[in-house]
Amino acid sequence: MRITVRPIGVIRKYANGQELEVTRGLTSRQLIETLGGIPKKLKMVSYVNGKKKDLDDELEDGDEIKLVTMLTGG
Amino acid sequence: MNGNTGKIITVQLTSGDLVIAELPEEYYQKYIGGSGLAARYFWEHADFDADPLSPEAMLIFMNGPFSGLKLSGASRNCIAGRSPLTGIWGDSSCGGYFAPELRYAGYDGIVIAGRAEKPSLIFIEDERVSIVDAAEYWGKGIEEVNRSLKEKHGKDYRTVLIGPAGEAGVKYANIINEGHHAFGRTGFGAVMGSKNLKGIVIHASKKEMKLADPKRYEELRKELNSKIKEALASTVLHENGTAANLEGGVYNGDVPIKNWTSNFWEEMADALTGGTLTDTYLTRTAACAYCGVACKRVVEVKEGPFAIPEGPGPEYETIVSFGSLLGSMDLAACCKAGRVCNDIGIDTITAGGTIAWAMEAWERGDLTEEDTDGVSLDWGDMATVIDVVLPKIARREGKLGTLLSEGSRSAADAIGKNSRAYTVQSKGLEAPMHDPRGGGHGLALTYAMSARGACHVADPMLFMEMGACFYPEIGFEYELEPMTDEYKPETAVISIQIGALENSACFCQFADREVTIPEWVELFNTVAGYGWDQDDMMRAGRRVFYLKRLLNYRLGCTAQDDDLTPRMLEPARDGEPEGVEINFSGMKEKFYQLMQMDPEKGIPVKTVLEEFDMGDEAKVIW
Repeated sequence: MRITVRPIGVIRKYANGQELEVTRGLTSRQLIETLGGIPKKLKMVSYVNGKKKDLDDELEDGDEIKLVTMLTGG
Repeated sequence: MNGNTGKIITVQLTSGDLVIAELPEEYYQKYIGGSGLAARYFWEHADFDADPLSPEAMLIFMNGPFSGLKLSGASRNCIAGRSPLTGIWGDSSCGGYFAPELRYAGYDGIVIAGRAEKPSLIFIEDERVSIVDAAEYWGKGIEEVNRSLKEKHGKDYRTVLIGPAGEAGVKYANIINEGHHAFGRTGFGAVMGSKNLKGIVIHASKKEMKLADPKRYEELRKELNSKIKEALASTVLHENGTAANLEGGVYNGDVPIKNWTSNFWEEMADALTGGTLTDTYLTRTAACAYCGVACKRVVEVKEGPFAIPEGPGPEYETIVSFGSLLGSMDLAACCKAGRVCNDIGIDTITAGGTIAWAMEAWERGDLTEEDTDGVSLDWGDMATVIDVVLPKIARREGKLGTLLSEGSRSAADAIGKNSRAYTVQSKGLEAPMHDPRGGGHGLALTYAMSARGACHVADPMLFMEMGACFYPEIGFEYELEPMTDEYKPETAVISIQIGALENSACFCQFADREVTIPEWVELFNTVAGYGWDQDDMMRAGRRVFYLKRLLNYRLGCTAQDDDLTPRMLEPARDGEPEGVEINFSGMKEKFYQLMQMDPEKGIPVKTVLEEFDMGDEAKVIW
């Protein structure tokens, strides 16, 4: 299936926005691992088609996934 | 005394008396330094009936024990006293270059009282302290005065200055070090102005310090500096500044929009985030003394209505206060607004918060042209904000300038119409640019429990809810779900103790969150030789928190002041946190129980004060 990944804010430092062909049943957590480069210590949040989703929920064909972390205040 | 110098300068501006006083080491051991030590000094010496802008009011600059010791983030200074904005205890921390110079000159603090007959500066060169005429600088902007003083004395003479707003008594006037670094919050610039004090100029000719265990301190310092500089968060802060993850905050609903009426604005996220600032207006980065993080921004806006020459750039707080909070996503306007606020000398958070309230009042019809001298206050109209509103505030000019110069709570009370409900403040201090409804419910609790009013740097709850720091040695090793009240009171008990250490040791949160509890203990022991264990240190943190509660009680606060406004607690209208309720009263009740605080008076009960070696303080209250 085909999904679109959009890293947000700090995550852009580690991953590029891209369209990806992935296997059915992939979760956001697995996606983050697949992308590589995103430090494991970052607490990640996944927004799928504009809604926050559990990292272990399965993604679906055509999903747009925005990856966000809360790393720093200011 | 090791670490600290044990000496403060007391300045009586009315009489011109200058005295070098010594503080007992017991005070340092019990209250550390910075805001904690200032609180203890205030407790003993302040006139609690004095209006904050009267000559009798006392203003305290206080260092922490690590200032000047070349440890990243640990050379901040604290200013404290009774706030003219809130009427209660106020303190404000500043990075920059003032703290090390004060330390090298031989002092931990400066206490200022009285009122000079004419505009004055306090001039310090090592042991030589004098009060000098400042008539030529009065009425001038901070940028110009800072430049003039450095041309006259040399660039290594450090300055802390107020601008026209402090002179005019704007209740949230700030104090600026080196033209760039702010003692931003709670309005002590107005206190300096009321004392006819334009600023302080300081220079030290030596860097001698006595430490308890200099060899081990040096090893520890190097280890910590490496760790702090290389930390993931530090690299992010260095590259893109404190607004580095503003965009992420928008998605979580943490970034306030249009006076906290919205929690999501997708186009704004990209327009205002730190990476965009880097790509557009950043010319170079800058740092506070000895800091390896170097999160400060220097910017230039070359063209357009908000063009500014190269100079200090905005922090996250300023970007949001003069960006989304006012319905704007114009980053150049944020840069210029920040520059103007730095020059006139006002706190960008309270300024933005007060103008945001006024814009909503204007939209509702609660403020009309009659109140605003004919000025329209439309969302996103940054030209009016920068060219008309800020100059009016700075001079307290006309009805609009006078009204808004008081801060949002007082302004709302002046116009009535139930407009206090949509102020965003606690205890009269406008909230910073993190909305607990999206940022984390624990922040709602700690905003309300902070002695100075709504504050995200009183303690590290924001970072703890994010999962950005952990303290397993004192029981914080669990992950929090930001959008619930679960474990928040328990976490707040830990958070407020850490926060008291940070603000008393004058250690920057961006740096010190990399420091573990055992390392904190070792820092105190190698520098000051206290022989502390972890429990001793955490008890000191808790003591500082309790002392500020007692101070506020003496200044008129009770438990009912530990509150947030209706706007801050109404369910968010959109974005990630849409519709979610914050269980504020439940968290507050539990926190009070855990901290053994009286549910009416809002202060620790007598027995717990005695348990924390605060029997003398207890006798004054109970």
